[in-house]
Formats: sequence, C-alpha cells, structure tokens
Amino acid sequence: MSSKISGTNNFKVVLLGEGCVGKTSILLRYIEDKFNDKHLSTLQATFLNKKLNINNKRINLSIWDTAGQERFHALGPIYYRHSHGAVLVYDITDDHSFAKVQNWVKELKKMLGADIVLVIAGNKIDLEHERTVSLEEAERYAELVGAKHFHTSAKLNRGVEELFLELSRAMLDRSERTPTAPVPRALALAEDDEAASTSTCCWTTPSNG
Amino acid sequence: MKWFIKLFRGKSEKPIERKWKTERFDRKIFLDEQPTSSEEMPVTEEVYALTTIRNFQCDSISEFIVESEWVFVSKEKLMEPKYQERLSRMSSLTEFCKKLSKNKECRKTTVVVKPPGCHCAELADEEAEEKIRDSNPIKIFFKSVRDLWKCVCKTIKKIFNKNDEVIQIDESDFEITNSYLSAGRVRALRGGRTSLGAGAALRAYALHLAQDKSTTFAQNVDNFIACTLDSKETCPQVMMRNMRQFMSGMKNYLVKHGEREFEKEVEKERLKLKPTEFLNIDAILEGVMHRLVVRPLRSKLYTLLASWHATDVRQLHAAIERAQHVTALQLGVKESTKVPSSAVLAVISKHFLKMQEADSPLDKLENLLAAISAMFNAIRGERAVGADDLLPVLAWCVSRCRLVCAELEAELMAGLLPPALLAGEGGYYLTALFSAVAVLKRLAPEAGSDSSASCRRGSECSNRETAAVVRVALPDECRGWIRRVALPCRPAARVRDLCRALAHAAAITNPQDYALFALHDGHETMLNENDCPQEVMSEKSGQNFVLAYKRIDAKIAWPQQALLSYP
Repeated sequence: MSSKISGTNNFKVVLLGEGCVGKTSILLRYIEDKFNDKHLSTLQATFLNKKLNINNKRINLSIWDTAGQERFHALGPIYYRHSHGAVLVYDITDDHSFAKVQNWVKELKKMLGADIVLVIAGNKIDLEHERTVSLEEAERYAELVGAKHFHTSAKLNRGVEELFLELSRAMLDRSERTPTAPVPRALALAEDDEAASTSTCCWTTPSNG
Repeated sequence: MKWFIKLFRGKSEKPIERKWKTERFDRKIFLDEQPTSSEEMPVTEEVYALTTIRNFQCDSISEFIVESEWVFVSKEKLMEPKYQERLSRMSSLTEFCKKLSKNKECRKTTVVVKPPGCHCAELADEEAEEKIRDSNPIKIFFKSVRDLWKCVCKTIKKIFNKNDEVIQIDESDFEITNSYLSAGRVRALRGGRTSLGAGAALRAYALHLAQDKSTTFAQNVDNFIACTLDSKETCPQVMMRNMRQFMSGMKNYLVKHGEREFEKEVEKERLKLKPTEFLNIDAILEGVMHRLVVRPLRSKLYTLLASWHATDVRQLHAAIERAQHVTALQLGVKESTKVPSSAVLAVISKHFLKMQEADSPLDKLENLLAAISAMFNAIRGERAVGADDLLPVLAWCVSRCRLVCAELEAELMAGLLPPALLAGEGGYYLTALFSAVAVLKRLAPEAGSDSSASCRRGSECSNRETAAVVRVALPDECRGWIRRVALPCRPAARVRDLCRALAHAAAITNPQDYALFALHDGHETMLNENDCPQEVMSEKSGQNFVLAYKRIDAKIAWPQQALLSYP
C-alpha cells in the first residue's frame, strides 16, 4: 500500500511470439545482466520481476512469458489481459514468426485497444546472413501499427536492455497521461475491419477444428 | 555420530519411508557437522546442528528446516555421554532447552543462531545472543541451511545406503522450496500467519475479538456468514466477490477504527519487536479473515463451485481420462524436455493434494507454487525453462495426478486471494494452472458429455445431493489424521470406480485391502462394489453421514462431529 503512495509503478508486460523465436532467452538475458545471482540459479524464466528507475520514478516490471506453440494460441487472452505492455518477438530468419507477430498485433489492438504499449523485437540478428524477414518491411509495419521496433540478439546481448527501457518509458508515459486524458491514439483505430476478419482465422486452432 | 546412528537404527526395522512419516519418532534427533559455511559462523570450533524430527515429513523439507527448532552445539559438548543421555530422554527440543537452562547448563550449550520461531535461543545465555545479532543470524542461517541439508542427506544416505530414491526426492524438494522461498510476497504474507511469529499475539487477539459476541467485529462476521449461508445466490463468483470485499473491509475496519484493545495490542507488540523485525498487520489479518470467513463457508463455496462448474468438471474428468493414453509429446511437451519422473510426480501429487485440503486460499497457492517448483527442478536441463516448456508439463502433471478439481481450486484462489497478490508470481502460476486446464479440456469432446449432462440435470437430479463432487474422509494411519478429499463422481458411477480414483488420489498401492464405508452415527457400513455412491448419499442426505475410504481391517474411532462440518 505504502509503495503505491510513494510512487512505484507496477507494470505487467507480456511476452508473445512463436515457439522458437527466443522469448525465453531475451527475458533471461535481460534479467541476467543485472541480477546474476538469485534468479539465474533457478533458471526459471516464465515469470520475472524487474525494478527500474526512470527519471526518479520507480518502476516494477512483472514480465509474463507465454507458451508460443500454435496450439496454445487460444490461451493468449488470459495471459495478456490487464497488461500494460507487450513484447512481440519474431525470428528474423523465419517469415512465419513475423506473420505471427502481425496476428498478435491485430488481436491485441482489438482486445485492448490503446491501453497497451507494443514493442516488436526482431530477434537473432547474430544470424543476419540467414535473414528472411526484410528489415524495411518490419520497420515499416511497426511504424504503421504504432509500435517501436528493435533488433535484438539475446546471444550477443544486443538491444535487449534498450527494448525494455523504451517499453518502460512508453508505459510510464502512458500511465501518466491516461488519468487526465483517456483519449486513444489515432493509430489504435487503424485496421479495425481487417483485424476482425483475420482474428477469426488465428483463433481457430487445429484441435478445435 | 555414533549416538545418532545407534538411536536411529534402534527402531528402524521398517522400510525408510514409513519411518519418515511416523510421528512416534519424536525423540530422534538429527545432527550433523556444520559444513563449509563455518568461516561465517562466529565460532571456529566444529559445530553440530540439532533438531527433532517430530514435525518432519519428507515433502516439506524447507518448512521443516525453517520452522523447526535448532540447537547448535560444540562437538565436545555433544559427545558427552551425559548430554546425549539427556537428549534421548527429552520428548522435544524446547523442553530440552528449558531443562538445560534450569540446570544452568545452558551456558555450555552454544546456541549459535536463532532461526525464526526458535524458542531455545531465548533461553541461551545472553552473551551468545549478542554476538549473533551482530552478524545477522537469519542471513547466516539461511546460507548454511542449504549446505546443512545436503550434509544431512549425505549422512542419511551413508547410514541407510539403500532406497536412494526416497532421499533423492528430498534433496530435490529442498532445492525447490529454496527457490520458492524467493516468492517474496507469498512468503511475506505467510510469515505473519505462522503461530510462532511476532504476529501470534495479534492474531490471537483478533480471533478473541471474533469470539466475543458483543464486539462489532464479531457481529459483523457472524452476520455475514449467516447471510451468506442463507443466500440463494448460485454463482460462486458472486459469493467469492462478496467474501473478498467483506474480508478486505473487516481488515480495514480493524486497522483504522480498531476495536476494544486492538490498537493497544498492536502497540504492545511493536514494543517487543527487535530492530530487524516488523509486523505485517495486513498479512496477519488476512490469515485471521481466512480462518473466520473462508473456513465456515468452505463447504457452501465448494458446493456452489461444483454445481456451477459441473460440466467443466465432467469435461476435465473425461479429458484427464483421455490424457492417460496421450503421450507427453502429444500434449505439446518438447522432445528435448523430459517430463518429471514418477518419484517427482509423487511429490507434485502430494502438493496438489495439500492444495485441495487447505482451507485458506493462501495455503492453496503456496502448495501450487511448491508443485510448480518441483516441476521446474525436474525439467530444467542445460537451458532455461520458459513458458513453452512449463505449460505442457503442467498440463501433463495435472493429468497424471488426476487433479480433476484443478479448475475449481484455481477459481477459488482467483476469487478469494487479495488482488495485489494476483498481480505477481502467484497470479502468473495461477494463470498457468487455468491454461493447463484449458489445454487438457481440448482433449475431451464437448458435445457428447454436454447433452447427457443437461438431460440429467433436467430430471430428478437438480438438487444438490447429486453434485458432481463426492467428499470422502481418508484416515491416514501413518500420521494419525483424517484427510478429506473431494472427487468428481458421475451420478451413475459405482463404488468400484470411486475406489479406484481414491486409491490413486491417496497413493495407495494395495487397494485390495481398502474399501469404501458409510459412516453413520459412529457405525461403519461397508459399501458394495456395485453400489452407486451418489444414490447412497441422496438416501441418507440430511443425516450425520459421511463416506470414508479406509483399510478394511483398520479400527478407527471416528470423531463425533467434525466430519460433517468440515467437508
């Protein structure tokens, strides 16, 4: 209770992306660099807390990892509800994973509207020579949907810290703005029709048929 | 060490697992060398850590270590025959310490650290305690406990040199709980609720207030319970929301307005605090409210949950049956991930069972976290474990442990826990449990079971006696207590089916020796294999009547009342 009064911002961040894009590695890399003792010994990277200080404002990130396999797609809503931010991860050597990110963006926009800050991460830039997702295309898409785009490599520790920092800034920014002006950003309204039609297909999981 | 071996062996004809669980062995005392951390200890000589194994159960090592009393003595002292003789005569360590201090011998016993809840250190000589405080005893203690436990394990292994499996579980279990100790909030909330903590007096006072029917607090609580029991509300979510609101409201009332001497009591406790301690009033009162509100309403709440989610439970039941024939791979477990071994699964199953038995949603959550930690430790390999790995493994474990009530338990926790707790780690793993249920449910066909359920619901079975869940009392002969389990039971199910499920739930390996009994006014009637438990229940509804699953030859004097009031 007292922590809220003294101004700690609690943000929930959900990690979304296909199975093998490296969500877990990004998360672990992010936490590892600062806390290399306690959490790492358990090697669990499904739920982690991270404390930050931005402009003297205390921030506590609760990062929720999700299962990325296609068959678990339908579980998305119970993980991302009440989220303040989402990190959408794709593998730059895998077209399909980028398409999946687009699906997530549409779904999140539809379900949470402007309440959620989106960040897209093109992971595995250490495999630049195998890149199949065009850099320009990815950045253009991110800009279109109002998300920041980052190039990351959990392996080489590139971009991870920056990604979460930027995300936190944006969430802080939004949370300070929302109580007074809950006006959704124009970008959030984009592509509403398309979202409706595609989301039906991404909701259909193989086993549900 | 000889002494330890002698005493321990003297009564160990039975296989090791049994002995662990038997409570009679309260006189035996563990001791072991204080290992590597000795450089941090304020003493340079060899030290032995002693505790009784009275409270020892192999599934909760950390609790045992943290909550037990420990005495650290010098080797020299310990080896004195007189000292040992006294040790073996004492029924508990507290008593032992009291005796020591009475005889002024305590000064020779070096009590080096004072773990939480240790009485004996208070009786030790002042000088030693001074030293301790300087070097932050709790910190040292926690650091050393891990090593200590490893050493204890090693010694036990050395002595028994067989049945490695059991001991192996223990080791892994300790690691688990070690990581689960770091579940900060859950842990912090819990700290205030243990009876030994600084909050004990406060808790006792709040409970006392509730007993005194002239207080506003007690009247409010009683009114709320009476109203809720009378209410025609059928939606469990509404009931839980009311309970949650009421509990938070009453907590606020006590903290802000106080009643009788409550505020004075808080002040009194504050004065007693050491510089490093604090009173987590919120946590203490949360525990009190669970006791006062959740416990009496538990049975009604389960009834509502069971009937509201009857279809879900049936579906999950069918799904779990189906999942028995599905490989881990088909459930989505990666090839590179190995599922928990049967030994670990037994530990997980035990945590799940404890989760079902617990009254307080916090206790339930703790057991869920413990079960999940066991999974982490079992599946972790070279790489980190992410949600990709955890979720299918959790689903697999729920199916193998046949945790049919998983959804009810998850709903109950989500409905009753303080919202702040649900934003953190606890909330995440609760969500994981919900999603594991969802993963499993997709294995079961929805349409078929649905139609039969609805037609059944339409006919005579609309009353609550035919709820999907049957409660059965399970006397645990090893521990000497009665456990209640709630099991799903189709209206047409036979006693035979229920027995099979019970044997599984209770991990009974000789089900042929067990049978289902109907207890009525202290008389036991053994039920026939082909009887239908639901019918028996509805015939006898309203009477003091309970189902019990016990060894056919076991002679048990059943408690008079408690059985019904506490499902």
